[in-house]
Formats: sequence, structure tokens, C-alpha cells
Amino acid sequence: MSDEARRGPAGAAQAMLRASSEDRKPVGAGSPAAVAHKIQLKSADMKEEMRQDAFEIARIAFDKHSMEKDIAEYIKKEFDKNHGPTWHCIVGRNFGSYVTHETNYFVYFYIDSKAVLLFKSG
Amino acid sequence: MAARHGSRRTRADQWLFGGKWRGTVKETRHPPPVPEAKLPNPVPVQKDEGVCLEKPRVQREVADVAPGRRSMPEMEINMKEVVAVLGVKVMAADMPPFMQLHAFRCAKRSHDNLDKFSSRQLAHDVKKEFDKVYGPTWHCIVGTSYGSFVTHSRGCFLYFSMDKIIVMLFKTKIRKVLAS
Repeated sequence: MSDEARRGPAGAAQAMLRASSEDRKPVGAGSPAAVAHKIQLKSADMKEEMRQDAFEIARIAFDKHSMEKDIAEYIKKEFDKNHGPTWHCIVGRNFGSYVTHETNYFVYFYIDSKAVLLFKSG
Repeated sequence: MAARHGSRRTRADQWLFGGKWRGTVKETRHPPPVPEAKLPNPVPVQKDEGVCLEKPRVQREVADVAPGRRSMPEMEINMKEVVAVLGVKVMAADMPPFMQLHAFRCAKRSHDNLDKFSSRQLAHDVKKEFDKVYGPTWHCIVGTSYGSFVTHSRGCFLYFSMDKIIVMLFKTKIRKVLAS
């Protein structure tokens, strides 16, 4: 049985404004070279442990790649490998979606200013 | 990833849809849209006069001709006409032309009906239409800026642009959920 989820960049404007505001803050001398990506959970039908795994893999993906399609590819493949097929991943600044996912296998979150949609279906 | 085979199709079906079918579910990567790039046309179809827009890879006997062959020129003309009128551009497709046309029209209709554009609403309308007409399970993503990586069923993937929005529509196969 699948659950249908209506997911979109709800609060995207607010999130982006927040990110923008943070970006405008002056960076002091000697700031740390590596800054952890800020993650903001928007919606989830996923157990805590798997959700944290998604966040961690997303952080790694953002460090490794810069293009959205490469980030999506990395995340999807890691989940196909670690949590069984078949996963789908969307990454971007502006998109809406309407998908059907398997119960307990859906997460939608922001990492910095980009949204990540990850779900299992099929 | 191990190869997975969908339902088999007859050679006639393969011929009808331009011989684009492959035997495995494939993963599709979608590069960011390039506004100035010229993209290939939708899948060409064979005319009944014998002129092939795309040369078939397999030789066929006359007996293989499917009953609906004579309608192909109409479909081709219809496809080009609709694409021109709706102003859509197909970036990537693994889908028979009639289903592509259906998606274009559905997206256009939804887009025009919305007083205020909503990516989510358009995605909803297209997904629901395809779930209803072609059976579950379809997924639709709509937006101006996103990347993706998905696995779709064979013959059920479409990625096109309309105005400045990009629509991705794909189907995944249904699996019986095992009791945990």
C-alpha cells in the first residue's frame, strides 16, 4: 500500500529569505574552513534513524558535487544501495511535486537553500 | 544494478512506437535545461509510404504490419502541430507519442486553468490524470530549477518544458508490499 503525498516548497520564500539574511552577515576573520550544511526538515514519513542517514548522505553529496543532478544521483544511489531499491531524488531551488511513495519512506527537507525530496516507490 | 524486464511487447508494438524500446528499466539523468540548445524532436514515426524518418534496426516481414499503421502520418502531424501550438519542448522521452501528447495537453490545460500558478497543483493534475488513464503509479515534478535522478518503468518517462517551467513525469512499477 502506498501513501500519496502532496509536497512542495512550502515556506520556500521564508527559507530562502532566512538563508539570504544569513548570507549577508559579515564573515569574521579566521572563520572555520569547513561549515556544516544547515538542514531544515520540512516533512517526513520516515523513521528517525533513516532520516538522519538521509541528512548525512545529503551533506556528503553537497560536499562532493555542485550540480543538482549529481547531488540527486549520489543520494538516490546511496539509498538504493543501503536501503534497497527503488528510490527517487529531486534537488533544487524551485519545484513542486506530487508523488506516491511507500509508507515510511519519504522525506522532504532543506539543506542550506536547496530542497531535497527523497522517496521510495517501485 | 541488475537488469529488470518489464512486460514483453510484440514486435508490432515495437514497430508502432519507433523501435525505441529496450529490455531493462533504466536510470535517467536529467541535465539542467539549456535555453539556447536545439533539442531533438519527439520520436519520429514511420510513414506508410515506406519512407522511414528513422531507419528500423530490425528487418520485418510484410506480415508484421500492424492494423493501425495508416494512422501514423496523422499522429506525426498531430504531434508536431501540438508541440508548436503549446510551445513545449521535449528534452527527454521514453514514452509513446500519444501519451506525450496527452501529457502536454493535460499540463497546458492545468496551467491555463490556474488563476495563480502552482507547481504543486500542476504536478497533482498531471499525475492524477495519468494514474487514472494509464494506471498507477505515476510521479510528477514541476519547477523552474531542479535536478533529479530517478528510476522509471520502461516506456514511461517524459521530461519537457512549457514556457519557463520544466515538467518531469514518470512511472514506477507496483510491488506488493511484504508484511514486515
